[in-house]
Amino acid sequence: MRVIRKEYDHMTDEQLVIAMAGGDQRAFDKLYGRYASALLSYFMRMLWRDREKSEDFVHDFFTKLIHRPELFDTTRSFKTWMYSVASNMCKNEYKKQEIRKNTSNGLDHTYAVSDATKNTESEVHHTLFKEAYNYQVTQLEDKHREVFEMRHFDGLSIKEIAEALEISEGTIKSRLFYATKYLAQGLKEYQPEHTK
Amino acid sequence: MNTFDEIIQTKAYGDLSPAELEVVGELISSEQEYNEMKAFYTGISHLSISAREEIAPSVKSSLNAVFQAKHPGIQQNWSAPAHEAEEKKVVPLYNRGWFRAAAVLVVSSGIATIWFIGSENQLSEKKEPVQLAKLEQDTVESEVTQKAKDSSVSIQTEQSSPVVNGSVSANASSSATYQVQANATQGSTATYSWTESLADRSTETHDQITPAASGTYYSYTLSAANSKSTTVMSNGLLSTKPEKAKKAESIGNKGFSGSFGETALVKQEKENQTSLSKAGLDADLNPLGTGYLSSNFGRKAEQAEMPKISTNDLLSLIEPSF
Repeated sequence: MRVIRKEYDHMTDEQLVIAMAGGDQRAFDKLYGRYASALLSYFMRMLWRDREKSEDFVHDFFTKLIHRPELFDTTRSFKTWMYSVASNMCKNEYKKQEIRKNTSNGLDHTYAVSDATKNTESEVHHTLFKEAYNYQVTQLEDKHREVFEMRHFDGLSIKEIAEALEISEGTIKSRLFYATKYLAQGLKEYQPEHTK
Repeated sequence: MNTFDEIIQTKAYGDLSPAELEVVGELISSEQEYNEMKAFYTGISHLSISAREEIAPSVKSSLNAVFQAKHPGIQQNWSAPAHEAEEKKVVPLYNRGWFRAAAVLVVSSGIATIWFIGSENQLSEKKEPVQLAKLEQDTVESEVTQKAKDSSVSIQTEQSSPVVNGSVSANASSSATYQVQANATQGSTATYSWTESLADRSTETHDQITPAASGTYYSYTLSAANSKSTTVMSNGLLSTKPEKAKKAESIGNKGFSGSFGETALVKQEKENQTSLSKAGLDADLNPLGTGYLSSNFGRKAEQAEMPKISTNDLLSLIEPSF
C-alpha cells in the first residue's frame, strides 16, 4: 500500500489529471488533497471570507474538473490553470452579485475569534497585524490584491501568476510592487516588535 | 521579485551587496523602509500560514459521489486491504494456466499431425506397388491394343524353334478364358486352358498334356477376347491378328479377340519329355506377378506331372518391352 501511495505522490498534477480523467479515483483524491485547502483559502480571501460560498466554489471547481477534464490543457501547469479558473469564477461572482470588497468590511471573524483566546504579547501583535491587514487589503483594488495574495498566500511565482491571470510578468511585478508598498506602509504601526 | 523576497527575508540591510541594493532599491530607499518591509514580510508569512483553511469533509463526500456517477464502472479501491496490493506477484508466463493449456494443445496437435502424416506415408507406400502395377498393366494394355490395331507383329527370338501359341477369350461380363496349346516340334503337345473369373479372380484350369517322345520345343497358341482381359503378355514376343480382332469386335459387344504366337527358348530339363512351365505362362499371362494365377497354374501343372522348367529360367529369357 505504501508503494502505491508513493507512486501517486510522485505523479505530477498533470499526470494526476490525466489519470483522473480515465476514472482513477485515487488520482482524483490525490489532486483534491493537494489543492482543495489552498483553493478554499483563495476563495475565502476573494469572496469576503464567506466559508460556505467558498466551499461551494471548491465543489463547483472539482465538479467541473470531473465532468470536463478536457478543459484542462495538459501542456499548461495545473496550478496556474486552477487559479485562472478560480479567478474567473470569482469575477463572475462579482458581476453576479455586483458586490465589491466590503461585504464583511474586510474583517476576518475567524481570525478574531480563534486568536482572541490567546494572551501572549506576540499573539496579540499577530492578531492586530492580521486585523490591520484584512482592513488594508480591502482598500486595494482587486487586481492588486489578487496578485499580492496569489504571491504571498498561494505561493505562486510571478510567472505562474502571469500565466494564471493571462497578463504579462511586468504587469504582475508592477501590481505586486504597488500592493506591497501600500500594505507595508499601511501596516507599519502594526508590525510585531521583534521583527523590527 | 523573487530575488527581492529572498533578499528581504534572509538578509539585513547592512549585509546587502551593491547588486542586492540595486534590486531592493526599486521599492526601498532607506534602511528604515527596508526594516519596515522586512517586518511586513514576516507578518505576511505568518499570516499566510495561519490563513490556510481546512475544507469540510462533506465537500469530499459529495465529490466522491459525483466521481462515481461519472465513472460508474470503476470501483473505488481505497478500502481494500493494503497487503493485497503488496502481495500481488508477477506470475511468469510459463506458470500461467492459459499458457500451459495452449502449450498442451500445441504439443498434442503436433503429435497428432506427425502421427497422421506417418500413417499416410505407410498407406502410400502400400498403395504404391499396386499403383505401379496398375500403371504397368495399363501401359501394357495400351501397347497391346495399339499393336493389335496395327498390322501383324511377329517377333522371333534368335532361337525360334519353340513356338507357343495361346488364346484368350473373355467376355465383358464375368470371366476370361485362356487356352494355351504347346506343340513341340518333335510331336509332344500340351494344351492348357483355364477360366478366370473377373469377379473373384478365381481360376479354373483344364489341362491336357500329351507328352512327346522326344523334343525340346513347344508351341503355344493363345487367343484373347475382351479388351479388358488383354493381360496376355508377350514381353516383346507378341503376334496379333487384327482381322480376328476386328471380326470379334464387330460381333461382340465391346471386346476384341486376338491370338499371338510366342517363340521362346525353353530350356529343357529332361529330354523326350513334354514340359510346360508355369513360369512361361505366368510370365506371359501374368506379367505383373500376381500370385493367384501362377500359383494355381503351377499347382495344376505339377499335378499333371509336367516337366519342370524353373521360372527364373524363363524370366531370364524374356526382356521387358516396357
